[in-house]
Amino acid sequence: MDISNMDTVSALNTPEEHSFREEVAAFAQANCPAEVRAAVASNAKLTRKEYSAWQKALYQRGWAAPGWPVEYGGTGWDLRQRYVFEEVAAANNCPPQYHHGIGHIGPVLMEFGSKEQKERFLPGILNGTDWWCQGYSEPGAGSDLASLKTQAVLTDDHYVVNGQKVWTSHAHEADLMYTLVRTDSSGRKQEGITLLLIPLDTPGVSIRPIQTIDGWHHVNEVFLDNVVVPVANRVGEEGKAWGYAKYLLDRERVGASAVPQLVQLLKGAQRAVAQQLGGVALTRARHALEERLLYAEADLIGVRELAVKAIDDAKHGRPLGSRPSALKLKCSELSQDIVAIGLDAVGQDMAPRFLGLGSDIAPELAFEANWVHNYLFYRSKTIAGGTSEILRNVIARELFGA
Amino acid sequence: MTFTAQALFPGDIHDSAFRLGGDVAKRTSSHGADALSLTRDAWNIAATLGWPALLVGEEAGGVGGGLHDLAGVSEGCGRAGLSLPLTSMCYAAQRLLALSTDSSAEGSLLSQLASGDAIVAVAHAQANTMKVAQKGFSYVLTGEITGVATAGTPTHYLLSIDHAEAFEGAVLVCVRADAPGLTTRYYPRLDAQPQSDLTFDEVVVDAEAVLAKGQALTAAMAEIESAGILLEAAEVIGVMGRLIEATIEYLLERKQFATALSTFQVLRHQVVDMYVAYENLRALVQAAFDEAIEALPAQRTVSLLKIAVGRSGRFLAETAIQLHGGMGMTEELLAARLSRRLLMAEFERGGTTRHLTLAADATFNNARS
Repeated sequence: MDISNMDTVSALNTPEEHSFREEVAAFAQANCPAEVRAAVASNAKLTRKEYSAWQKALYQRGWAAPGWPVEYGGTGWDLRQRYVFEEVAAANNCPPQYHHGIGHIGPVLMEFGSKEQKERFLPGILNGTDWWCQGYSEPGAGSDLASLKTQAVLTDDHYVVNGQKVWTSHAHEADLMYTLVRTDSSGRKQEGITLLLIPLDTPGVSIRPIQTIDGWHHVNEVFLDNVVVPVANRVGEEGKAWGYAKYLLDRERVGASAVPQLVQLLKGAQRAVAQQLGGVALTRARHALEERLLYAEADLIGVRELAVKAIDDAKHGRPLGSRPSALKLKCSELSQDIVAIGLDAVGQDMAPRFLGLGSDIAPELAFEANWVHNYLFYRSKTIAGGTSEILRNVIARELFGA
Repeated sequence: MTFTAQALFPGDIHDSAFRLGGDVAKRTSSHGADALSLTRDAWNIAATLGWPALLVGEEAGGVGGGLHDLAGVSEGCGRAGLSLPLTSMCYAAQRLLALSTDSSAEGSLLSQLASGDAIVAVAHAQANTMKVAQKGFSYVLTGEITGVATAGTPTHYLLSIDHAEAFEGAVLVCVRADAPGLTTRYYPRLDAQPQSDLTFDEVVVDAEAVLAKGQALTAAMAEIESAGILLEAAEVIGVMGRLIEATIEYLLERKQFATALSTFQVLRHQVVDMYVAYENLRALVQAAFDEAIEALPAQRTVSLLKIAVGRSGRFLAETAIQLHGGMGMTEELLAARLSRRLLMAEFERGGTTRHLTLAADATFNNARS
């Protein structure tokens, strides 16, 4: 068992899977642009530019949406094959597919959208020409998302939307925002929520960047000031969107959980330690980090096995229990451990100067500097998408039956 | 009545540093040029408050204070979230200038430093990045020194060069900031404190610019590192106390599920863990300073302090960020900036990398023999 060669690890390596691995690797090397692969290899911040380049290449191959039904443009691959694809793509420095279109609003539209909405929006998601972001959280509605207040008032054939969204990742480069709004305040808070698709160039929409401590730009505030949204942009029925959001959450429980990316991250950390702390004088410091690398590797082999097993359980209709939540929690904390090892390897040199390097730097220098960026960025892995504290409560309820 | 941190080095010096820092910190919310001009303003006021004169002897126009006074400044700045290169510009410059024989003379650079007429930054060239060549009665400097802690606009740089061929060892050279051939480039550190890279393109200095060399210089640099570790530890204590206060305030204010976050046991316990680590480190810092009355503590003590500051600092920073949720990731939040200061502190002066080895060598190899 060797993290640097997942082919040796087990499970997903039938003869068919083996030749599929070779097919994906060859495709990736020939069709993922070199500058995209270089950015991924140096753990750089990825933007629409990198993600959409890969999405377009996949679209041309017919691989735009491995998880979608074939009739909507999917590949017809089962969960095993999808995992193999993601693993090989990651090992060849391709970016993960950007999730908001392919993984979130696409599946919601397929399940709950109208025929017209599917025809209007699904093609742009598949071919990478439309870029989506998620308008969920608000300043007063974080962990308690259902308490959201952005209001949508129906007038004739349109809604007028007023409010504010926060932590909107990549709104600054998106075309559309799938947005949870409140259409009814009279009943239970979950029952008054509606899903609207809002083009970000609609008058009244303004986007303000939020500066984060990692020095990269990810998130924004989106202000909605009398924004007019046609009823044709409402997904499903008024007041039912909390259920659509839960549908997504349940779907997310079985998935790669970014394990392939975590494997590459660990390999990078191993490289950083070897490069930065060679030599006799640094022996003790190197050994301290090597110990942590070993623990991380042992954890990661288990994590991969859990991910593969979850796929097998789902395939055979076995109940998933607490394992998906446990896997998600473990992955978020393990990813933080790994980037912390990277930080400790480069920190002496890079903590003082990683913000002063300028934009056009050699790949090796970028690889070093990015550990500091990523260490800071990854603090959000136990906060965004459900804090670790909330997740522990979810798991506890499963374990204790209450 | 909620928790309020008590100063380890209380008094007027601490309080005025905290006030100054608070004014500056209020206006700071981002990396880059903004932070640079703000710390320039801060340094001008620091000079008026006499901080650069604290460790200068009275005979040179200084106050004749000691490490404990500067610790009060450090702690006050830390509590305010103001990150300034106090060790470099209030201790190191003074210590190094005192090495040269006429340092106390009227009009000397040391007395100008004490009066605020000169602003002196210290640049340490450790690797072989600087060439010092003799040319008649002058010396020619070529190369670069990166990561020079800087506040204000220096009028002079003290270059401590570990390996200078013309001297077959360490040499201390004073260079005017406006010397032909010297260029500076500013950028922010992880904690937004500005620093600069100095590039020397055949900068010529005369023999009088050589202030010290050899063992005396090397010993002074070692002292400066130890003093810096103590001063930084004092700053970190100020930062941590404020961070715990801010975190408690946030949790009392912030409501989700119609409930203040401060009522959730898991979050309360995380704050307690921050507090326990803080109290323990605070006591260790106290113990180290108690050992530093006559002379600086032994290397082993300093290195143990350094690794403890690093580990506790990382823990408090990560916990504070987590407890603030999404806000903990934002530049505009004081607690996030305080956390970044703690993270940066770990890597200064050799960091855990160097000091874990020094402490281990001094502890375990001795025991075996």
